[in-house]
Amino acid sequence: MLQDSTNRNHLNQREFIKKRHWIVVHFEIDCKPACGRQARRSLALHYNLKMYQYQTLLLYQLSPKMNPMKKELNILIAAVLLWCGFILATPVLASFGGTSGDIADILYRLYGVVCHQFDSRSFHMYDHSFAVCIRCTAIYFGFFGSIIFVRSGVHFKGGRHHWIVGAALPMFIDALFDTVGIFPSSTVSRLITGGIFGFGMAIVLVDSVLDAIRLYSPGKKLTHDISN
Amino acid sequence: MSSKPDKLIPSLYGGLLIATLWAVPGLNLVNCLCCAGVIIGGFLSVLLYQKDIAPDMDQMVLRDCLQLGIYSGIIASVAAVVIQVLVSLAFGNVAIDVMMKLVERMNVDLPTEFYQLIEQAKEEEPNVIGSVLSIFIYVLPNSLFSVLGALIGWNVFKPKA
Repeated sequence: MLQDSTNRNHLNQREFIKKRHWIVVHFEIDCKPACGRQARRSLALHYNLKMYQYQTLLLYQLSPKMNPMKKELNILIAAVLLWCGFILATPVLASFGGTSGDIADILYRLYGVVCHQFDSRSFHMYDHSFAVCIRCTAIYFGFFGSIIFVRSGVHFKGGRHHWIVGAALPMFIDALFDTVGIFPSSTVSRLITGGIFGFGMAIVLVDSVLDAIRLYSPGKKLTHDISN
Repeated sequence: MSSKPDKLIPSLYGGLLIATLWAVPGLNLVNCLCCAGVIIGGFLSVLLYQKDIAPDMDQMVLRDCLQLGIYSGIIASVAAVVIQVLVSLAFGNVAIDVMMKLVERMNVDLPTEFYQLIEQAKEEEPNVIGSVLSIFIYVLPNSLFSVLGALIGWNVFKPKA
């Protein structure tokens, strides 16, 4: 959780006001998946916060409109939108031919690093396959859908380990059964299991990714050990 | 508190795993699970790094994981091309035949495109320069997904307060 090894002492009110933003950020990052009263209380105890400060924290925590990670979320949404957009744009570019076709070739190669791109397992547009297979398409759009939920203030409960296992297991079983020949996977099963995986992984990863964006944002300095 | 363990060795293992799963015939069947190989590599580097941390050392932080992911991705891109070139130069179609026999023995159900790709690969001449240039294309997605794997690792192994 919090890694403030350099300053575990009591924070007076002035320091608190100065650092409040960051405490709230870490509170958001570290406690969101299981943001119960106990987690908030332990955070308050960790910083030796007074009750009015603790209440201020709660006020921030409970107000999605005051989410201090909005800017980072917008950057993440833009990046994922770009990634998903290129998946759809690739077949369109390929259909134009010429220079657009060359760009499409580069995009196919780029996405080919992380996807098998089998034609029979891909969606098609204008007689050209998407840049990635059906399962990958579902993963990325599931990921995108999940961060849209987070952006709109939805908080998902449950431990991260549970989300990882719960998200990965259906897809793993679907792929394994298909490969071994027990139960052939279909477009629907790939869409559903891929979507679940993408959605769940976003819930697990979104806080870390936002923190990473903040970590490397120019002009932003974290006061805590997490930035080391 | 003493300094942190070296990041190069865990990154090297992670990167080599990605490259092996991607470039070695037979093992690259893992790629049928999409980006699983790359994510596993990033995760492995964090796992190994976390195991290297002694009790008297500083704890792992998010920045370490990001660096491990990026290093693994870069190493994987270079190593994958090296392995690919070496395998094609050393064995040529023999490696492909071995992989095909392996697939047949496993009795797995693979799409027809897989066999078409194999046939295509048999006909292609090894292109060393093209392979080396393709490192630049591999670096971006490999690093990106390796970082995601490392971030999964961070969520699993991050120290508790």
